[in-house]
Amino acid sequence: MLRKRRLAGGARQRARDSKRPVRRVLNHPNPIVSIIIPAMNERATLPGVLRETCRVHPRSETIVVANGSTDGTPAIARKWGARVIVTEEPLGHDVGRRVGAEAARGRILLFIDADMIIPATELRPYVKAVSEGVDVALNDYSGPLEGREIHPVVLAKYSLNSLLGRSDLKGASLTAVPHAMSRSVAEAIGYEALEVPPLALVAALLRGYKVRAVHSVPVGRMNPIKYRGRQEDPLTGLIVGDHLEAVHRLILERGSRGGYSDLGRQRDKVR
Amino acid sequence: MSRTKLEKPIGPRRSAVRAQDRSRRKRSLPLLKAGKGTEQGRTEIGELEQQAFLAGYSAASGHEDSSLSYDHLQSAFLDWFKEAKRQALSWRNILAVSSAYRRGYNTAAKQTLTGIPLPLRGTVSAVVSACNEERTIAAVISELIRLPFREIIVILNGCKDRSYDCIRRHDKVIVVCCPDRLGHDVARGIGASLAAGDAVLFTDGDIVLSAEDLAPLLLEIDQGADVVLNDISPYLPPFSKQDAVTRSKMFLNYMLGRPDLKANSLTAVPHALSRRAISAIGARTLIVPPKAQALAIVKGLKIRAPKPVDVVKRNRLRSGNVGEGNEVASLILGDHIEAFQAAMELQGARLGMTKMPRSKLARKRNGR
Repeated sequence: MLRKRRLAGGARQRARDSKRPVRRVLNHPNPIVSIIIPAMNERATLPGVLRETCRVHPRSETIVVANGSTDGTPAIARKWGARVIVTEEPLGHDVGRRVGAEAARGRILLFIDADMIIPATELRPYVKAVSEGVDVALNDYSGPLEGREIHPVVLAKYSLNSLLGRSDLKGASLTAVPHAMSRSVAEAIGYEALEVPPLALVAALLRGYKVRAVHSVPVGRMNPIKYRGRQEDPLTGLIVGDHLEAVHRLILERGSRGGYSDLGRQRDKVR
Repeated sequence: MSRTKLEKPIGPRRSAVRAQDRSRRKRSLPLLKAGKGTEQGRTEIGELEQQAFLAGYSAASGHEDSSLSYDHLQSAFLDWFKEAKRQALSWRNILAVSSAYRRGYNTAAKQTLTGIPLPLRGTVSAVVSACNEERTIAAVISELIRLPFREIIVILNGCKDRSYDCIRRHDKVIVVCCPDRLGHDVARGIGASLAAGDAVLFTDGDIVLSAEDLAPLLLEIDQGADVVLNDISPYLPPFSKQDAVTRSKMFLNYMLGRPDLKANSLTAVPHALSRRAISAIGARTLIVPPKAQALAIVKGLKIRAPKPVDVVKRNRLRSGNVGEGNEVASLILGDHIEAFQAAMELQGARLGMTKMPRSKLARKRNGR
């Protein structure tokens, strides 16, 4: 049910597509849900992604932020009827989400990626959670835990949640899709906060918003491996650094101990 | 050549010695596996042990009973070891040689000295923090007395029981009494600023660790390490079952570029610090152990975790340290945030992690 990018191969995919009736994305004039999809050179998977988004909510709009694409991604998105924002420069997922969120009209923002086809049934729980009062609905997926060495990104996600007193979130994070939030949260923490997802999470938690890991979609297994072999993916350093910035934000807002007590330690006794 | 064969030809031994040494032998068994099996490596150590046994035997044989003591054993061993010029041995092998030397010494002296002679170049102080530990403090100190410490500083704080009376009188033991309860971290800080040794080993009064467990830390710190940690990795559950505190410890080490240290931390005892480390970090910073650790890493001090000592299962459970979100856990989480703050002040908020623009990264990953 969860299809990997290019798994089916171009030809097989097209053959299957031709048999199905082409569905178009219907953008409701007065949407409740805005589905935001940053896309850079994703012509292979974008149609599959859009086919699922039409079925998420009856009153929705789909916004494709086609950035830095040279493979006709914007044209495909337009053909499918999505609202399309085109930038020549590549933006990256996070900046793309910010751009999409700023253009959104719905009061619930659902964020997904263009390189991963997640069925509508797996997306609805996030929308439902936000419509029922959750402010930020995260993917209850923590990344790969097996293996002898723990991945630094997984460790960073878990640890940040722990330091924020939210061990219950495990490794759930705004860096992972799908996730949803109410637009009022995005407005309160500032749209630019979305550009560094862990920073946005800290901001939401420190302002007392209701953050929940509502539903699990194992996206790690669907994510294409782009860096093979020994070379370290620069994305790892970026995400880990983002989490450190988030810890720094916690320190700025809550003091050098992040709001934790010193348990009455008499520090002046030592000279 | 097995060790049992090696021991047989040498004189009859008193049963007391044998009983006491049997347990040692069991414990130091990894020694024989340590060389990962080349027959030659094993034989070399075997030969050295035999030499040590004979040297210990002759060290004790020419002396009056009254002059035979742990201090004499230690100084005789030190002299022999310097002469033998066996500086390049690992701590496992040093301990094996030390134990063989003592066996020889005890055989000649017809005594049952249990102290462990160690070839230390500098002096080491021990610091024990204790608050109402009448049940364990005596045993803790009798183990420490089996090691060649320069002094053993016991920081009694907030004691309402008979801890003070339980402490054995011994010329190396210095007792510091504070009426207020200080907590382990503050007590260790006080101990560190009082200690006179070239290095300091820290342990707690509530957990009895054998001299055999502590000896590797002394050897490592004496051989040039600045910070020696307890390697608690074997006692930890898999990542998915670890608690917030363990993950924070690992997070700090990873982010500061020392993933090899895993969850090993100055928060856990036993650990040892060189004088150089104490002055570089500052005794006051020891009050917040993760902060001291962060500074040690950032300042490029030599940090090692040579041996596992099980303090996880043996830790005394108190009302304050049980369950997720307990007082002690919150304190330690706060300590880690403080540690990050100290590191970030020196290295910036991203601690040297990539600041590659997101657009560039996107082009690199998704560009055609």
